[in-house]
Amino acid sequence: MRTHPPKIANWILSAFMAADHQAIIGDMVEEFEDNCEQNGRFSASFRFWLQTLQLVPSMLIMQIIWSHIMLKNYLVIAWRNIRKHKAFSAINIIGLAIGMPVCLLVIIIVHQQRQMDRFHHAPEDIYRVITNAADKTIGYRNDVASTPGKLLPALRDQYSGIETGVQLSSFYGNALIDNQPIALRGFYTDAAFFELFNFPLEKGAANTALTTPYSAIISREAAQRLFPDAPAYGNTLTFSFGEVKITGILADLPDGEWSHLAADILVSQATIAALGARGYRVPDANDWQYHSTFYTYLRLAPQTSPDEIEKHLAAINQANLRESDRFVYHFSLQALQDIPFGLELVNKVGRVMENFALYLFLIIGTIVMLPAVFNYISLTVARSLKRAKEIGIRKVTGAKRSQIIVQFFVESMIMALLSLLPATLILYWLLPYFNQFDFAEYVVIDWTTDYSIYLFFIGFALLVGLLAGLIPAFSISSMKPVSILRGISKIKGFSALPLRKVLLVIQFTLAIFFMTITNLVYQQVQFMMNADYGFNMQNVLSVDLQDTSYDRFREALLSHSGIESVSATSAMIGRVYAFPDFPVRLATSPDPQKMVRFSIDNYYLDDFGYVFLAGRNFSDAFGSDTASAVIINETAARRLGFTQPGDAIGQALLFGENQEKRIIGVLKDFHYSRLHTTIAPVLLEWQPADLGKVMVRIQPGNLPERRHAIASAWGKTSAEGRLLNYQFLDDFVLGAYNDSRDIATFLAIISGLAIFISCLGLLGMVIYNAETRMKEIGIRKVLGASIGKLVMLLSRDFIILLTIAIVIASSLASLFIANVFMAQFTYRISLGPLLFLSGISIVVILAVSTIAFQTLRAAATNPVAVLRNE
Amino acid sequence: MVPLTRIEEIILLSVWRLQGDAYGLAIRRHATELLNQQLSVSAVYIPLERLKKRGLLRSWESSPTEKRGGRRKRFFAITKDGWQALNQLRHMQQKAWDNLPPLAFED
Repeated sequence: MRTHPPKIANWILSAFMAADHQAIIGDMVEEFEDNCEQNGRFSASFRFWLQTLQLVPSMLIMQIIWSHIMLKNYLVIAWRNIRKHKAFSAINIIGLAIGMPVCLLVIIIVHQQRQMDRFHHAPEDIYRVITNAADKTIGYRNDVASTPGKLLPALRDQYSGIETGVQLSSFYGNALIDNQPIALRGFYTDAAFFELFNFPLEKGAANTALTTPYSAIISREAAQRLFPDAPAYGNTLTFSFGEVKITGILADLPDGEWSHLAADILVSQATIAALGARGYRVPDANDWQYHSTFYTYLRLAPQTSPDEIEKHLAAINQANLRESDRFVYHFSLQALQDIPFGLELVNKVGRVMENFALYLFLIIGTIVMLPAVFNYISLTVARSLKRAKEIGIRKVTGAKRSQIIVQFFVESMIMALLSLLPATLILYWLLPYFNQFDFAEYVVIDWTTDYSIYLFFIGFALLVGLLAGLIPAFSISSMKPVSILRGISKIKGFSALPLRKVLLVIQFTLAIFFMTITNLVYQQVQFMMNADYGFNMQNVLSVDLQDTSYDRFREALLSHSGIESVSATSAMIGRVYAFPDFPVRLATSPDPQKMVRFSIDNYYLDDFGYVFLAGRNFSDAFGSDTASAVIINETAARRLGFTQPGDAIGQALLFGENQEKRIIGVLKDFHYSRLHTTIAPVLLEWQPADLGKVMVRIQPGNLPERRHAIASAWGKTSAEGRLLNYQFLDDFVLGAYNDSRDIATFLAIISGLAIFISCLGLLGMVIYNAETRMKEIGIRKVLGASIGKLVMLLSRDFIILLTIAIVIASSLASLFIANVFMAQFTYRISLGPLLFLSGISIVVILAVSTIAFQTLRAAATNPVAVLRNE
Repeated sequence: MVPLTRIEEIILLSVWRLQGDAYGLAIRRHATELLNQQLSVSAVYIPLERLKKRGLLRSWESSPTEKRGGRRKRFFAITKDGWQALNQLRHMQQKAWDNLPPLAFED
């Protein structure tokens, strides 16, 4: 009976030993057979296994050398192909290099967001309590990053499972240095902050620095800003509320680390109570309904699950719930690592991006990368006809299909890696321009020194290469050598024309769609910025009154000749986040109507040029207007059931149970908030106590002189240490559209890139098409075809495809406008065919000139040059 | 002068001695006998490959037989360069040994 060597060992040898080393296995088997006869099967098997295992290291080395040889071969072939087809390589590399920078920027931002707050001890045990607050009065829910101030003490005192908890509340103040205000942002907090987080202190003691009122720790950077020449530690800062002693200096975080809680200043928590005792309006830690200021961070004790704590939170919530409350809460824990790209929260802290931003980035990245990848696919597949012979010969000489696939992947990856270099350079060059967008603040670390980012770049390039190579690799490697070598013309359908056509249509559909949307958003932004708000907001400075007397300040202002008029309101009408949440009803009707409520004085409406549809303005002459008169807008009059504005005049409105006011005027509708918001019913009262904003209309020209006038009036009438705080009303109101303007600009860049890349691809296809049809063109020319006919012939297919793209893109854009745009903007530009035409025409002009340039060149070629060599 | 390691020298000599029967396993067995110690598979095959690459050995494969799991034998033979390398080594050794003065050890 024959004996066989151990199966597994034998399999290992056959699988991993190189083909030309099979004789070694033969020797081993022979030795095994001999050993079997002499020493028995067991001993022989043992020796065979031993020998096999001893061979493993050298087999591995041989494998590596072998694959290295193949890799070298792949690389050489790929490099030759890239150099041989210069136009195609250039089109692909330029396309990829232009598409990549946006994606690289996204990688940087995502990478840096992920680095957030990693330097703390056991960051996985740190959680933030977030509040889901439902507003019963207006039926509005929000996820809020902050909690009521009572939450942390209750949790700490009544429940176990918390190792440390800390409460932060925002601090914002101007420190006066040589009478110059220097803005400092930070938090009120206490010593637990340093127990929970690992912020290093340069000076001061973490456990005592924040115990007494009016003590603060400032960052090293702030210290340098405030006291460039003197030591900051032990010094004092002067705020409008008093002096604060610097009891510590925060050290810089280690390189590459950042925190969403980065602050200029940390003021002791005890300061809040001290300020409250002095009559300042401070966040009330005991008001359960007040949830917008206190941030609660917890470090859970080991082996405590967040679910347990959430149960405790629910119990605390239950204990504090009152029937009369406006807000109903639900608390949950958010892990520290989940803060970047987590829930979209109101009152968020720090430069943290929400998950929504991540999706947006993914979409944007795809929009720019897709055309470039499509270019690669269609050009490579188109070229495969020319490469068919190469593939055929390879297959005949023994290449496996897998090797051909790898060959194509290596080519596409090299192409992507080659594009990465120019892409990175473009990014360096573009980054300053990105900085003008709001989201630039999310690039928190100097990425040029954080080398791990380059690994992500390379990984990204390889991924792009993989995606781009996928279709070419599998379709081309599937060719049958016999059919290829017998004659290319016979393999019909292989040209994968439908695929290329589909890709081209997708590219141009995207390009036209985004061009149209860009145009739309841009025009909408222009429209909003130039819209008639219903009042004249030019040359108006809005001054925060604080506790200064309005009458005295007004009088002092009007004594200056450059000041045209002065009036007052309770809010910056034009950009107020106001909800109709104030219920009133007509004395004659039981149904309450919810209204937006503002206070103004008797000068405001005339000063701003509001249009009265009926009735009169507030006036001193009646003596009782502050107590019993209201003015409403057109919408309010309509909601209350008056078809004619004049009918509303003199009607009694009931506020709550017993207060009654009479409507004395109806205003034409005006935009009290940005144009995204639908105008709601508005109620204007004259409540002198609520007038916190003074609107100073100045005469145009000589701004420094006007500013000086305001400052001197302020100096004469305001109390000691009150900072004059003012801004131009129109700047503030139109500032509401900065986001939209940024989006429009960004969209324009993105769609511009997408169009450029698509046109590059189109150019490649046209070049290829003209090249392969050179002889046909020559013969047609000899037979008398005109250049015009030839151009028509060469470009007809592309024109048809372009038309299809235009039709699809226009329908998509109409859908988008109907479903998204219309819902976003209540007040919008008139939508006409012109809007579509301008977007389409840009793309068509670019595409047609691309086609025309190449086809004309091909059609103009002398037929002799092409046909001579046949 | 072609440098040879001790194992290479022994392998070359084994191939020479085994004449027409110099294939992997026979070489390994002979070398094991000479050195009086077990040699692992790669301890023999890697020097064999190296010697072949340097042109001191040449090799060919037999047709597969039913024995040995159906695998071929790879036979080796010494080339002229191999023979010269061995000769040079031997001359050098002889020169080094010739006329050595007598040694006296203090026991």
